[in-house]
Amino acid sequence: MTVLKRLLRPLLTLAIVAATAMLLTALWRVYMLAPWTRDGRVSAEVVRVTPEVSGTVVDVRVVDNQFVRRGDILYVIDPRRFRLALDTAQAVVLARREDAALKTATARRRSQLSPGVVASETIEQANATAAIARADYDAAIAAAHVAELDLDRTTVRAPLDGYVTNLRMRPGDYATAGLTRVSIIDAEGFWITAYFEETKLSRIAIGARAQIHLMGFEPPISGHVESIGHGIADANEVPDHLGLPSVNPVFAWVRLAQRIPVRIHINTVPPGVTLAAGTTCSVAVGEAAAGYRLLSRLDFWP
Amino acid sequence: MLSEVAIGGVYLPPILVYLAAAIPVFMGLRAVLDRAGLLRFAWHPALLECAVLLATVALLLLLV
Repeated sequence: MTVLKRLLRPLLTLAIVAATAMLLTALWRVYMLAPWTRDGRVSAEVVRVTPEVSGTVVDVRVVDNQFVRRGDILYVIDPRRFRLALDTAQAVVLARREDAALKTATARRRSQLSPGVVASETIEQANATAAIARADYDAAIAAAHVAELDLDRTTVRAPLDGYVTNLRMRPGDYATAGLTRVSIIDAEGFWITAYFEETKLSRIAIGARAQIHLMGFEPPISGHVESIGHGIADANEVPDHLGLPSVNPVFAWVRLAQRIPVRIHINTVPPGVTLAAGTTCSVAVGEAAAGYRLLSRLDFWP
Repeated sequence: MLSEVAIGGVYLPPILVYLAAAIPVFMGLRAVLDRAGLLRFAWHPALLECAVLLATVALLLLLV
């Protein structure tokens, strides 16, 4: 009896410790091994709208952050210079047409003369000159089309439905061909990039259900895993001046897991939630996406 | 799902919140154990207390 009583004290304590160890294992599985990450970002397709011709901006038809439909006019570059260029090109077309007609007539006349009156060299020359004149005429027509296109491109239009972003343009600005002046975020082009530790990748399946919690909005967003990134940069591969890889020697006990971007497709956005590229979110995939947790939802000082 | 917690614009890991929530629960549990005399009966009281705190955190995270 006394032996039993003496054994009871350590046994009871050890039983509680053992139960705690089991609970901690479960916690480790849920917190450390389950595929969830705090390191998610909202990403968006951005189209950089770039003018194809240079000129002074005479009219800006949109305001910052405005929603535009495909084909809506964003801004207009002063078309006068391009209208004059088109006039010039059309005048050249007329001149070339007359020139080609004249030279073709000359060639025909010469070739109709009875043999012996003119040298065959002269006929060949006339034919060649006429052919060149006709080619010049065709080139002038093409140049006129280019001038027309340039004139058309003075009106810069939205290439897709989306939101005008970072518009810094006033009438009077000079727009340079090839330099982006306005960016448009594709309204349908939002997705989530979740940076998962490489140790969790084996638990992420393509097509698996995902739940996204934006830091700014309470309702969760549902989605699914679209694809897993197939590469990130390796600093050891940067070549030195001889082209050899500069491999860093490592003397570290603790090293950090790399993070791989996983692309999450957004299924539905709850009403009232505004997606903005670059904002932070938490993402859980598969078994980790289930359940509603009260405590990790508390936003203490909103 | 587990999610980051924002406190005054600072983003904290959720385990911190569970840890903070576990402390008052543990204080209550400890008072009950003390009242029942279990704390004095235990083999190593400090070991028991440590185990109870960790179990509280784990249970909160798994259930709440």
